[in-house]
Amino acid sequence: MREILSILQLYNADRWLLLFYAAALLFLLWKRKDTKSVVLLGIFPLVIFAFFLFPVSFTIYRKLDGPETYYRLAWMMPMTATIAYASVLLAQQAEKTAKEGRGKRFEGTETILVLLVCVILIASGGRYTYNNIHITPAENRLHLPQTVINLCDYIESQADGSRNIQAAFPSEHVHYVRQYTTHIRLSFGREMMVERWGFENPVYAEMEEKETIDAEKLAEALLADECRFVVLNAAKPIDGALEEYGYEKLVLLDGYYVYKNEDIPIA
Amino acid sequence: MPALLKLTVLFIWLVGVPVLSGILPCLILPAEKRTFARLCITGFLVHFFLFEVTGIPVLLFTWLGDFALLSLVFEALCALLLFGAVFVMVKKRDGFVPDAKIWKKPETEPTALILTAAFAGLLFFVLYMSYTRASFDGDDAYYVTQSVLTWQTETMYRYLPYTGITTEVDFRHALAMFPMWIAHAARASQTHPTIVAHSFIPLVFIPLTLLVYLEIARALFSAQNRTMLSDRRLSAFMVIVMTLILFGNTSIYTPETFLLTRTWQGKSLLANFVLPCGMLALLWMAQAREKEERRFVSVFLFLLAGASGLFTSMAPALLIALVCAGSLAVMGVRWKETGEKNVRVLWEMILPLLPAAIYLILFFVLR
Repeated sequence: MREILSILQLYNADRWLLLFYAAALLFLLWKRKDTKSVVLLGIFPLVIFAFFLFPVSFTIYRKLDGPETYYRLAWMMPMTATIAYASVLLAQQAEKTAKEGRGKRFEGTETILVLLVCVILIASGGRYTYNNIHITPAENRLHLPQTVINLCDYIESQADGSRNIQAAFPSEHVHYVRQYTTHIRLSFGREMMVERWGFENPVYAEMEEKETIDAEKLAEALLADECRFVVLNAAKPIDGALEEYGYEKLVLLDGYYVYKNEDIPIA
Repeated sequence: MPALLKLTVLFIWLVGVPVLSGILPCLILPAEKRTFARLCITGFLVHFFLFEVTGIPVLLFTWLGDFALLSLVFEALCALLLFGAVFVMVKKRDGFVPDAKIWKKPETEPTALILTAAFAGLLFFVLYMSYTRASFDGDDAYYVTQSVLTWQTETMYRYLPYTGITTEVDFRHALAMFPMWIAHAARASQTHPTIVAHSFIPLVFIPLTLLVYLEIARALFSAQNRTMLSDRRLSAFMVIVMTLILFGNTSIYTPETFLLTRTWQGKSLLANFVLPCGMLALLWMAQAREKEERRFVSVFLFLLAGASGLFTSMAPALLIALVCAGSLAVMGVRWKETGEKNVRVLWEMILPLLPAAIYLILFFVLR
């Protein structure tokens, strides 16, 4: 039960939208506008919620798909529709109450005022999506870092038309390279970025797990991986020079060095 | 292909063909009940259903998952469907939209106009931000890359997206062929799939989600033939929905977060399209009084069940759970409101879920 409640807590974070949902649901049950809304937006979601909290449901789900996605069961509750419907009913109630004293006031004043209050409450109790740190101005229509595109284009131009290029990129790029071109295969990819997946990779170990790269050990790992190209962050310290181990430095591009080993055959 | 032509072809495959695919199922309804929203929602369901039933056999039975063959067969089926719709309309002398509706000046109401303008402003803002902002999500390295892989190799699910090594088909993900659908739109329009996914998919699927909510509002307020311009309840409802979408990023788990930051991933469509459509079907059936309406809901559920597997393997499972349990609630509502005391409505809602059940059986057999 503790695990289920912590999932709920993570879902809501420290905001109030679940509270608004609960308030909207209770308001609908109290208002009893019609059977359809009471049952389908009121009672039925409560049954879903009870099922969500039920430890046996969690145990079965965990065996089928793992606990990380259990929160998706909460998606069956129509939170958005319920809050919106309750807000409109509230506005209608305000209109009805104020009808007699309205005088020369614009007919929809109460609706607009109540909605404004609801919007302010939702804005205060929620979290503005576009303040999210993972949302940034797009540099191009692919919505990928332009640096990654430039590096990929450069490597492909040096690959003699091959569509099977083995390359090692720094970890900050591995999510993006193959979203641009799958002609470049990676020595390590996103699987190394998720610690709980438990993958190991010698190239990653040499490139990313040390503060200073050991050029000889990195070259050894790259050669074992038949890695023809490697991209290194120019700011990352390196002990030794990859050039001594067959990797020619081609260019400094957008703050990254691109190396190529001609001795590794093209696939 | 010139840029304008690419954009046109992309529009045809992302919007035109899906919307027009809704004509045939909507012909079940009397003309006055055929709203534009119903046409769009049903059309996308038909379109996705068709892609899924074409894609799975090609994935399972062709060498390396012949994507070119899938594209060819799918496009042929889409053309057949559209011709079929035209044929039926001509045969039934059904112009689809009642003549009175085409020429009639839209009804408006001042408060509804103000609220509709507010909604339109919020929608425009969200679409602008979706087009001009990049949203990072680690799962894109899997899903978007699958589309690029298929686009560049014309194979399906034969390479690991993270590194490019060849692999056996990962059926846990492969049956959910939404990345292949994106790849098809990219192939047809000669546009990079990542551009299709990140720049254009939000422009289609955010409005599609809103159309579902508009129909939910119509069902809740029993305002089937009303529009946002004439009924302030509908426009007020949609303003609140837009606000919740904009401020719903309370955590990475909410449907609103998925809608704005991961629109092109199947999981987002589960949360923002499949499940709301399931709820919509429950509301429709609760208030359906004529046999055409009931038949339409059954057909709608059948299409939804068949299309749901395109997005994620969890979609058919959650849909079955929602509708099976929800149909009992619907039966209770109808019992209270109409005195109808038979279980027919259960079969009308549960039997159409058969495609979802078949998908799940296939999933567990292949996994």
